[in-house]
Amino acid sequence: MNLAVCIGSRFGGARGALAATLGLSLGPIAIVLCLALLYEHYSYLESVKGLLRGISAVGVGLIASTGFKMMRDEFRYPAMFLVVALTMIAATVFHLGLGYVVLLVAPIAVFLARKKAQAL
Amino acid sequence: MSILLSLFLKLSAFSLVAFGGVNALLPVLFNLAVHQEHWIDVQTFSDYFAIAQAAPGPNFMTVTLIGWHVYGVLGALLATLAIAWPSSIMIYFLQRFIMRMKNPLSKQTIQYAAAALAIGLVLSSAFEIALQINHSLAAYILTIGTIAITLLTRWHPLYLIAIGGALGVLGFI
Repeated sequence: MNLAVCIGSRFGGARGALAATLGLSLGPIAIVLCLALLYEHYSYLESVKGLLRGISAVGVGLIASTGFKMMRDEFRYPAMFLVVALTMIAATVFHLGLGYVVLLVAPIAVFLARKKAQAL
Repeated sequence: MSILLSLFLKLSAFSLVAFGGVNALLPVLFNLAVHQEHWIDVQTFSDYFAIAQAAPGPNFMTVTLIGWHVYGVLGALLATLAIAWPSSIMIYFLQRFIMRMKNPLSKQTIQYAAAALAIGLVLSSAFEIALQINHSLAAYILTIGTIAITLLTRWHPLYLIAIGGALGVLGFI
C-alpha cells in the first residue's frame, strides 16, 4: 500500500497515488468480503475452524519472517541489533505503548544508524 | 451511526501510528478491536486474521473484515478508508521529504534507523499475536516451521498457507 502511494506519486503526483491505491485495493476488498460471507455460513464446521487455525499459525510465521528477512541488512553493521533488541524488549517485556517505544529507542537508533551510514 | 463514526475515527487514529504497516502493529489493533471497543472477540479476530492472510491483496484486510463485522459492506469500506488515508498522506509527504534531502548521509541514517525500528516492531508483533492465536504446541511448531522454510527456501507463501490449512482441516493444529 505504501509502495502504491510512492510509485503512484512518482508517475502522477497526488492523483497517481490515489489511483494506484484504489486500483490495488478494490479487487482484493471484493474477494475478502466474499470469503467473509462464506465464513459467516460455514464457521461452525470443525474443519473450517481447523483450516483457519492452520492458516493463522502460518500467517503469524510469515509476518515474523518479513522481520527476519529485513534483519539480513543488519549483519553489515551488527550494532544495529541493539536497536532491534531494545525495541522488542520495550514492546514485549515492558509492554510500553508504541509512542514510548519510539521515543525511547529512536535516539539510539538514529545515533547508531548515523555510524552505520558513515561506516559503509 | 455513532458506531460507524467511532469505527472511522478510531481506525484513522490507529492508521496514523501504523504508517510502517499494519503487520507491525497488529497487537495494537487487537487491543483496540477486542479489549477497548469490543467490536469482535478473540476467536473472530484470529479467524479474520487467517482469512486476510489467505486472501490476495494488501495486508490491512484484517481491518476490512473487522469493519464488515461491525457494519456490513459499508463498515468494511469505511474501515478500509480509515486505515488507508492517514498513513497514505503521511507516506506521501515523508517520501517527498526524504527525496528532497540533499545530504546522502542523513538520508541513509533515517532509512537505517527506521528499518531497525521496524524489524523490532514486526518481530514483537508476530510474537504477541502468536500468543493470542496459537493454542497448541502444534500451532507453534507450524509457526516456527513457516519461519524456517521462508528463510531457507524460495517457496511461495501460498504453498505454506495451503499446507497450514490442510494440517488444520486434518485436525493437527
